[in-house]
Amino acid sequence: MRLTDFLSRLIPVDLFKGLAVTGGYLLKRKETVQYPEKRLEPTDRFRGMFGYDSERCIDCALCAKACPIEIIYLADKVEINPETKKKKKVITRYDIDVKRCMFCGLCEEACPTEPPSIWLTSKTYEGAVYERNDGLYFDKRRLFSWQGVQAFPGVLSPAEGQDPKDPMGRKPKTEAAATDVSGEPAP
Amino acid sequence: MTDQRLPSLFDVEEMELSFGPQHPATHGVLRVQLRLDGEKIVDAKPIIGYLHRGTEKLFETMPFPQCIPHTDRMDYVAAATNNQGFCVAMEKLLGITIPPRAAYIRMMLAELQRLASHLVWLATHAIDIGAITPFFYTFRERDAILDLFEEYCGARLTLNTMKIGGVPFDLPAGWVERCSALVDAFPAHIDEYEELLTNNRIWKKRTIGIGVVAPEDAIDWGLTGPPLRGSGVRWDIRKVFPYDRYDEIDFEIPIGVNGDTYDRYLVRMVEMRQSVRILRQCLDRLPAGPVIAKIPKVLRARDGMVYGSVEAPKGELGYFIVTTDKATEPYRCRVRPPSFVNLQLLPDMVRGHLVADLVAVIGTLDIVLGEIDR
Repeated sequence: MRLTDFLSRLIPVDLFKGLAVTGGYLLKRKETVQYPEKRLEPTDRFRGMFGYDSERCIDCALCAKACPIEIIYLADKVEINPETKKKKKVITRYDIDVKRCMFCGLCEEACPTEPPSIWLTSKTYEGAVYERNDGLYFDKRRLFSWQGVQAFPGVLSPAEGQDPKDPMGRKPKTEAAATDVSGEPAP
Repeated sequence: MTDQRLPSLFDVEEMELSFGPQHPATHGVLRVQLRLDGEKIVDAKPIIGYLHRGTEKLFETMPFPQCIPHTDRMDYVAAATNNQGFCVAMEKLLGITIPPRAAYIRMMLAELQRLASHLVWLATHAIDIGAITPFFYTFRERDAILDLFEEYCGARLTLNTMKIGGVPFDLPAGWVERCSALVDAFPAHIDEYEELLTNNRIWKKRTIGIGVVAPEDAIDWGLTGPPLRGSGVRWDIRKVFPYDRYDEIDFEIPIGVNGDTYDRYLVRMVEMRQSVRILRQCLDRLPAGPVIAKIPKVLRARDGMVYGSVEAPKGELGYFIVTTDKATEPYRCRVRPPSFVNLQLLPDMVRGHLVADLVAVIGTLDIVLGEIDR
């Protein structure tokens, strides 16, 4: 047996090489993020939690048809305006069984309004609840009021002065002009 | 007077041992019924079906585009290639040609997914054998890849990132630069893993000569992917039946010599380097144009059947789809999962080895039980 062979058997050089790799990381910055103290911001396309806008929704039920596991429940009734005698469809029920949702985003893709009336890109990932049947079943009211639900990116929410009649969700012109002058009487 | 009930020293009985389904080293819910002679394995019988969800039957009940989120759930560490397999098969059936930009985006996603899947394999395989350190390093890089996925399609694991006829989105601004930075940094990371393992004497002792598969056996049993290439058979769907635009890309297929666990490890390491090479070429040549072909809103198939397959990180992933005239959903969809076929050889590979080697062999086959049971 040659001396080099003998020495390489005796001294575990290969193991020390591995240790050198780990030792190199000893003083480097940590890669992990301490979650409750520091929260990562999801990207713009992140499919997190539902948002829904009943003003934009045209009640076509394409989202319910596109859902692969059929967790979107829709119901509507026809209301007749007593003054104009015009018929209008009104959504009475828009429920999403979020606890079964697999966040594939097909409902958002199927939505024909622009921007979509239902979206998953609300930049939240904290959907944990104590009671899943209660906490993860969203009806129309909860889809609006749930703390995690935010407006579709780049679109005003109704609270911020969105015109309900404008499907694009832009600020109404008259109201924008009114807020600009801010109390001063118009000439 | 001696006790007659005690077995004598040289008359040892064979023992039955159930390995799994809740064993951390079985990579899911695989159960292996072992017959042991001491610690030597006399026979092993894999028992599967604990994760059966009836995905193939589910496909028969829903329109073609809605099947794609369900394919994510089969091989859940490599969802993009699952999507790709289904889309490639459907495009073959419907006669759709996808735009070049869509094909290149698909290839990039598939190669990133191959890297991510191989990183998970390396981490779990090493941790099974006793090397914990690679786990931390590989998952750091995997997270960077998943960040790219999140930026592109909005999900990190179950991606739903491909559509029949192309891809759903164009690349966001800055994605190419970030992917490029990751690709440039990646070979150094692979060097790091190799520094930790390739010449490590413990790693070598645990893997060399374990689970040897002869090339003839590998072909007879229908192995695909790294287990086949580790035995020295040059077979890769990307080369032999190119899909998307793999015929325009220059890359090599690594093969092993001995067909043991160590060779399969080396093959996968070189495969990662080749994936980086493919990614680099895709990023450099990324063509402009639309990302989805013009397809009707409701896809209706004609009478027919098709088999389309892609090279998933674990081997050949194929979809055999039968459709009837003007149907919107498959009449029958059979999935050929690579893990299921590769698992067949487990009894032959572990016979005569010790129980600890069974863990190494399960790790080297790189099985995912979601895919096996479907």
